[in-house]
Amino acid sequence: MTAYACVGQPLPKADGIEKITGRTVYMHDFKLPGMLHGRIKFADRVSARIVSIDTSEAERVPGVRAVITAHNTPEVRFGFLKDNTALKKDRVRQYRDEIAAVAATTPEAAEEAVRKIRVVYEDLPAVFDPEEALGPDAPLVHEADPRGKPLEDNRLRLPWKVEAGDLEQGEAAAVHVAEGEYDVGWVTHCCMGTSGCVAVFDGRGDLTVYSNTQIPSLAKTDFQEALKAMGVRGRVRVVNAAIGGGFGSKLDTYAYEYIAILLAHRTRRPVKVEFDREEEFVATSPRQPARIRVRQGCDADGRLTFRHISMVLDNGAYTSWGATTPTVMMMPATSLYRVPNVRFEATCVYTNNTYCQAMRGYGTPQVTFAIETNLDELADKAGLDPYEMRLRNANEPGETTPQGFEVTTCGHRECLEAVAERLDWAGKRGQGEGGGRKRRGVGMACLLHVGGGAKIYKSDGCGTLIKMDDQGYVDVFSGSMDIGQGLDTVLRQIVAETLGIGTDRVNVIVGDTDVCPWDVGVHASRSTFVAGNAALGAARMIRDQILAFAEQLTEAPREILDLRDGQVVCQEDPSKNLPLEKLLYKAHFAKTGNTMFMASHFYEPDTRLLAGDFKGNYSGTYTWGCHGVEVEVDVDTGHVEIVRYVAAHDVGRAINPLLLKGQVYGAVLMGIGYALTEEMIFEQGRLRNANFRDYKILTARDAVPVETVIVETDDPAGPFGAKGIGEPGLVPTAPAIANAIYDAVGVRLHTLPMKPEVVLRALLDRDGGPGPA
Amino acid sequence: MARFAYHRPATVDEALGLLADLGPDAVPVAGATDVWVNLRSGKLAPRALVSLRAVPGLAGLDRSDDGLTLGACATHAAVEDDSWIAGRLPALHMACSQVGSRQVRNVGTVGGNLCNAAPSADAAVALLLYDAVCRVEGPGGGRDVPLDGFFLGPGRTALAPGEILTGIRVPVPRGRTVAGYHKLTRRKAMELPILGVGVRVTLDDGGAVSEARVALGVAGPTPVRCPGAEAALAGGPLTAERVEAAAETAAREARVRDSWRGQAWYRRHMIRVLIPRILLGC
Amino acid sequence: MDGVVVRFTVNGEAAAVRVEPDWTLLRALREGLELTGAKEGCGAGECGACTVIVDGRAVNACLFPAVEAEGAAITTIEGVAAADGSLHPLQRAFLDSGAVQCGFCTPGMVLSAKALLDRTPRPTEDEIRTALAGNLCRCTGYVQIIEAVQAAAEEMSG
Ligand SMILES: Cc1cc2nc3c(=O)[nH]c(=O)nc-3n(C[C@H](O)[C@H](O)[C@H](O)COP(=O)(O)OP(=O)(O)OC[C@H]3O[C@@H](n4cnc5c(N)ncnc54)[C@H](O)[C@@H]3O)c2cc1C
Ligand code: FES
Ligand code: FES
Repeated sequence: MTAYACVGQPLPKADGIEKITGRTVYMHDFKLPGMLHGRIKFADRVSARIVSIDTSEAERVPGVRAVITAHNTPEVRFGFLKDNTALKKDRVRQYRDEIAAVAATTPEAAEEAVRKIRVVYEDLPAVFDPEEALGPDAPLVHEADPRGKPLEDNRLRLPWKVEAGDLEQGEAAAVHVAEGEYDVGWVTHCCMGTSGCVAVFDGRGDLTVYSNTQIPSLAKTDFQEALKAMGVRGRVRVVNAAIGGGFGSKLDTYAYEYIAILLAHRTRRPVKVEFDREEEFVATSPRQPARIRVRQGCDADGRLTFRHISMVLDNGAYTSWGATTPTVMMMPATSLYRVPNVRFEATCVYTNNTYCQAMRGYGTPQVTFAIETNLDELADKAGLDPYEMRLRNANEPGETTPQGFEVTTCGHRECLEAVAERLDWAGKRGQGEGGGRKRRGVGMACLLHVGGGAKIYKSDGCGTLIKMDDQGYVDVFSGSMDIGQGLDTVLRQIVAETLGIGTDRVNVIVGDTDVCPWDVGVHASRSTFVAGNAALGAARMIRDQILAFAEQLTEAPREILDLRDGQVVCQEDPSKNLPLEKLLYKAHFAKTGNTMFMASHFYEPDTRLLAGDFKGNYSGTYTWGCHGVEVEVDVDTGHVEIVRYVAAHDVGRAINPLLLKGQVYGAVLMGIGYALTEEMIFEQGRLRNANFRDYKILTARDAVPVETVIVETDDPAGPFGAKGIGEPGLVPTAPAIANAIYDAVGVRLHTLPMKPEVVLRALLDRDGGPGPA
Repeated sequence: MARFAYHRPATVDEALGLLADLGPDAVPVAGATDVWVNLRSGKLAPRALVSLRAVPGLAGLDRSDDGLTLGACATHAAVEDDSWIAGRLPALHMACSQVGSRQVRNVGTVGGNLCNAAPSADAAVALLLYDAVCRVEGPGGGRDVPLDGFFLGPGRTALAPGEILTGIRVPVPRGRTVAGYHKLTRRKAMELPILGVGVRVTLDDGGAVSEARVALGVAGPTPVRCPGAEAALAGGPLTAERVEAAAETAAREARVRDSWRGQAWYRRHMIRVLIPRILLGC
Repeated sequence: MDGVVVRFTVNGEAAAVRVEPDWTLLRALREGLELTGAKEGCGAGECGACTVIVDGRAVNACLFPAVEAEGAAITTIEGVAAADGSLHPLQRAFLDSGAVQCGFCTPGMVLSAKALLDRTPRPTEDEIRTALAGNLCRCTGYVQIIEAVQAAAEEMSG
């Protein structure tokens, strides 16, 4: 592959100095003159009719400027199915329902006022289990759809189904079949910075929302719609503060944002709503749980003949992106490994639980746990080494998958081989059973993810503007966002590389809808690919402009000119080399024809919207990976210790290996948390462990020294060959660990987290040990 | 957060005077790692806090041949950093070193851990193994309270209104001793125990167990000793059978409960597993 | 506002802040002195985002009563770099090791690491992990943070 000056360098994160010195302004630090503090009164019941809301005492608290409810504000609807409202009028459907809100001069006054709001409820029956919610006698979570049409049951009318090949034929061709049910519960993002925003209207009625959204452009559209509902004629600007972690939690707009807007409108003052940690746990939307049935089979040689996946998703009380995770689960379901006959179907059901959202991996960690654990079980039945089984079915470059994905580059096999070699798979597998309290085992699991965006919205594009000043400094205005993943740095490298200048000359501006072009948002590991291509396109235009001008100046033909090291380089006659600054100065301050260089580019991947039959190529490229893990299981306590962890990823090209590794390390530890320690514990819809002591994200003492293997396949569609890597690192973690536990102690675990008591229970049950009494 | 006055007396007498004057609405505070969390959540709404942090001498560690005297305000970090304690009172060292995080240990005190009287208090379980004695000062003078009788219920201690804990005397066991504290957790830091298991046996010259202590955290309403298990251990050599019998007794004695933090069967089972592990390393 | 005035030094400079008895040190620093580098991630001692150094020890400023800071010497992230702006070796190492992503945990992380290195110039990996265990980070998986502290320790102790 070509060697580059900036691309491929392990540059530190561009905004790192600000962060490391404590100067970065997060939403937590953001304030405006005259700003009021908003606070929300959440429901005290899980399912009830709201009989009355008495705010009179709250209004009398000194410092209170406004108390709003659904009764004194216009209805603002939002969400994927518009089944949610900013404030609830007469019905409570989950504990996090917003009943009222207060704006006050201090957070303490707002808190006191919220405590003084009196709500009278009339309890209604509730349902918490999705299968029960499907039953004929289940209480209805919504009696009517947003348009008022009565609903008969709790099933969401969503068309999540895809089928390819002939499932029955695939079944018939199978010699070995494995079937299982896999249950994965709620986990949540745990961004270290809690969510919040500041809303402010100017004198003309224009609204600015200072936010920490991952979707500035879509949030702008959402807020604009809210203004319409409020009968306000202004326009909307969304400006981002630095984001203290995203991971998908900020891919949808939340009630608190609309509440801030309503309060700002009511008080004519800037209003900040900022969650404390408990609210962050309770009132933001976690990862979608799922109960997944997998049945897959292979022929006598271990080649997969069919795969059938069906699942029930607990949608919670309202609908956000959680309900759409099946559109992404379809991808590994149909296309991870070569399986000719596939069927996937998912049912989403309303319950009185919290509603869900996107979280890193967007459904793929859930379904990959099911597929990859089940595949190990199938290998067992077929008497095959699971590694061998995976190799035989690995995806290949150039194939078109049953769902219609057009695979270009594919490093699946390389990733598998790298893991097997690094882990000493052949030497270690199957050694676990035998004596001793601590048994070791190895496991692996693979992943398939979109690597070039994902067209699940009408446009998967990103716009970029670039301007260059007459000293050679470049401003890149990207529609995308940096949420810590390093987009700021990667765009610098791409633009600097293209223009032959140093990265220190490139400034990246994101997160202001007034100056940055449109982008669909930071999701689907798309930013390096899509925003990178957008920046690359714009940078190439500037490069062309500069070279065209250089052609005039130097009278050397364009073909032999290049931009390198801050110069226009004439490949045949170095005496014609021209410092870029000189050229820029001449262009700007020419006697006539003065010009400066600027460009704009909107990049839309050449992909098909995922809808209808859910077939077609919906990503610009796809990415693979394989994780291998060696565990040590303590058979007396059920504790699982990670001994070694290898993560191999097809990344196309590592634009910045330092930041890339950071994505993998962070994702893997999040994945280990998903596998072993993290769970949101709901009892009758109430979250019990809304704090970091009881919700167990891992600490520095638990950190695992991950060995990363970067497989570069140089994707033709990617910027400098790159594919996305934001999410893949946590997708196969849980099944790799589950498979390793099996290798170590011979029990199969089908639920997450595989906490010590779960492992121990499985061991005791198998060995006929003491029961749970 | 409720409003309150914050007093920083400079002597024990001054502190006692303040507590006497302010009555039941005043709460003593040391490292504040429990108090502040409860203030914030609204569980605690005192009119005044009486801080013991500025009282000289309360934070000291005094080591002698007889044993250790911990000032009530000695921090977990002070214990963690002390190699003398690590050598002679290893279970206490293990317990204090595993409290919360370094930041919490830097301010959280051993005295606070006892007075807070949580069933999960790590240091409390370890100190029960060593027959620690609490030095209490109050309006009516001072008294010694054996730790074994200090805990009355969750959050309730033998301290009378207006009394404070000033020190903890921890005798060093005489004779060959095996002791340890195992904190059962899911991750490796920042955890309250799902179960705390402490065991100490001291052997006589003939190798027989002359003194046995078994104490548990999160196995009842307070940190507790297990007299049955102790009896099962004492009187003979430290054999595997003896240890297993004691573990079985402790598991049966324990008043473990089902909660969303951990199930009773699991806690009970782990008592059975961990006692032999501490004593026999298996 | 009634309150009391607390005097201490922050980053080597004398400071006096009027606080209420129920204020935390975190609030005094952030609101009283506009030193917003320390963050509130939980307000309950569980995340470490608020970590500052008080008299040589890393503490959670969110649980530290402001009035208890009387007479103390406090270091916040704003005082870690030299007065001329040159970075502390820990800060340099965090940058170069890729230990900063969203950065929300970073100030607290750096201060926990600094408190460690100030006491234990050549810590073992286990000591580093123990010292940082009270600082949660959701982005990095800690690998590069641990590497950064090791690199800084090496550089600082020559
Ligand atoms: C994040 C975090 C993690 C924690 N992890 C653990 C853990 O792993 N294990 C564990 O056991 N605990 C843990 N704790 C609880 C707490 O830190 C300990 O119990 C600590 O020892 C309490 O000491 P303190 O000095 O901070 O007590 P304070 O909060 O000051 O006081 C606690 C109680 O004791 C009373 N009190 C304090 N000192 C005296 C005295 N001398 N005389 C009379 N009454 C007094 C107070 O009135 C109050 O009721 C944790 C706390 C936090 C915030
Ligand atoms: S904010 Fe202080 S520890 Fe989380
Ligand atoms: S860098 Fe984001 S929490 Fe640590």
